[in-house]
Amino acid sequence: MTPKHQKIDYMRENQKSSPPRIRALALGGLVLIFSGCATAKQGGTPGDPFEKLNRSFHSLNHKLDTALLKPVAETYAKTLPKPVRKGVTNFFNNLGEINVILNDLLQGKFEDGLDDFGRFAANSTLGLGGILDVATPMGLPRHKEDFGQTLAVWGFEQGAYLTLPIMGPSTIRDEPARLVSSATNILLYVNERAITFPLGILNTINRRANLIDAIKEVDDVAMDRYIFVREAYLGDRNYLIYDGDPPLEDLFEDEFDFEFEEEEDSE
Amino acid sequence: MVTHLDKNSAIGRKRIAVATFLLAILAYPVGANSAEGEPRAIVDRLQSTLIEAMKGGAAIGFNGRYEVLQPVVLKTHRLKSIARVAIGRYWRDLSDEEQQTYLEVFSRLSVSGYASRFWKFQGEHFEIISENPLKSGKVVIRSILYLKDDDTIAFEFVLSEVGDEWKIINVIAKGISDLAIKRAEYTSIMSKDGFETLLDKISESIEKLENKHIEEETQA
Repeated sequence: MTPKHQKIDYMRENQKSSPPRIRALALGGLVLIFSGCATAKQGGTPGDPFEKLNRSFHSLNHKLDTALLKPVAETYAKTLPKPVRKGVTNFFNNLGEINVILNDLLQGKFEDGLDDFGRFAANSTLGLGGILDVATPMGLPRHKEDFGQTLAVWGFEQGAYLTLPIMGPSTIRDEPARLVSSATNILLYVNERAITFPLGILNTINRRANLIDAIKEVDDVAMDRYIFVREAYLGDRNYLIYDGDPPLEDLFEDEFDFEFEEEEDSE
Repeated sequence: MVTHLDKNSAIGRKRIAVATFLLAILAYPVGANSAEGEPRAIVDRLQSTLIEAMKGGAAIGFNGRYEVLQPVVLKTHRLKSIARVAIGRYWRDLSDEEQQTYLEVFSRLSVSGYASRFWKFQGEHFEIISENPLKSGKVVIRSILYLKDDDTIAFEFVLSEVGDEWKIINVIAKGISDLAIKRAEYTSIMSKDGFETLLDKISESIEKLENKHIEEETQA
């Protein structure tokens, strides 16, 4: 797996891993952000009108991660054997399958929806509640669908890029995906905090542990960490929207072309 | 004294290993499936060299992989144009000397990126799956890198033709464009901090890439 790939997984996982209460707080904050930004124009690059605010949240998230989550995740990764961590990852992925199935259907991917239902059923039973991924070897690999992708398929524009406290990168179009992801997660309906709270903590630590190398790569390679994460996040979202097959003509932007012609002429 | 001798002997072994790899690269039949110079052959040559560098791994070290990769990366990439696009409109503001310095560090960064990321061989292989022309006359080669544990990475190489020469002008891994990220970063740094800071940051990146696997390589 390349560093870029790992890093992106980190960002995608990150946005699904926050406890519901934090999500609610963040959504409240989002309303405040938008109401504030309606009048306070902050400049920034096209597609990133809230860059200044985003940067401060990015910096806060990075500091919180370095001080709190990273050391715990590193100890967790050193302590637990890989197969155990794999089982934990599989378990939480399986809980997210309902969200995948729902979005398969909303995007009209009925065959994928059927496959993913089969995957969920197989892993929940033969896979011991999702701890083992028995479906992939059966020819039912994991799909990555969420409501942000569904909105894109339905024709909604991406909107501004956002970085939210604790939760990380997103866009206006991707924000509702957090709600849908929460609402389709079985854990939301388990009214036993003695179960859901430790599971939430375990999920967060496990996801972070899975991304230790990826985040180290970002730290090593990024010259402007905020921009690196933003561009990578947006590229990855586009890739997922098109299920890994984005239109070829989009691969080289027009503004690039202009400058290439100019440069090539002078060579 | 014994340590000194051991060290010399280790360096000697590394040099022999590097030389062997360089010979292997030179002897490699370029573009087994297509004529040399065609986009597919260019990507094929880069990918073969990446695999060779990975096979060299810790035995030849970062510097060894750099030596293996440098001539091929320079030959297969239009680095001057890539560097030019990465810095955007600020290119025109640079003096000739600054442009030259920037091109040199950019070139080192590009080779270092490959030498650092493709550092260990665990049975990986590339497969070119398609070649598609763009309206602009450029070509996109799609390729899959098969990793251990059945994982894969999809690559897209964008190539342009100048004269009779096809060369790579962008690499996209899993939808993430290397040039888009560099351009966004570089132009932001230029607008806020200026050229000297950009050079410093590129040099820092090169250093981090050089040292990324130094522990594993020292043990090997």
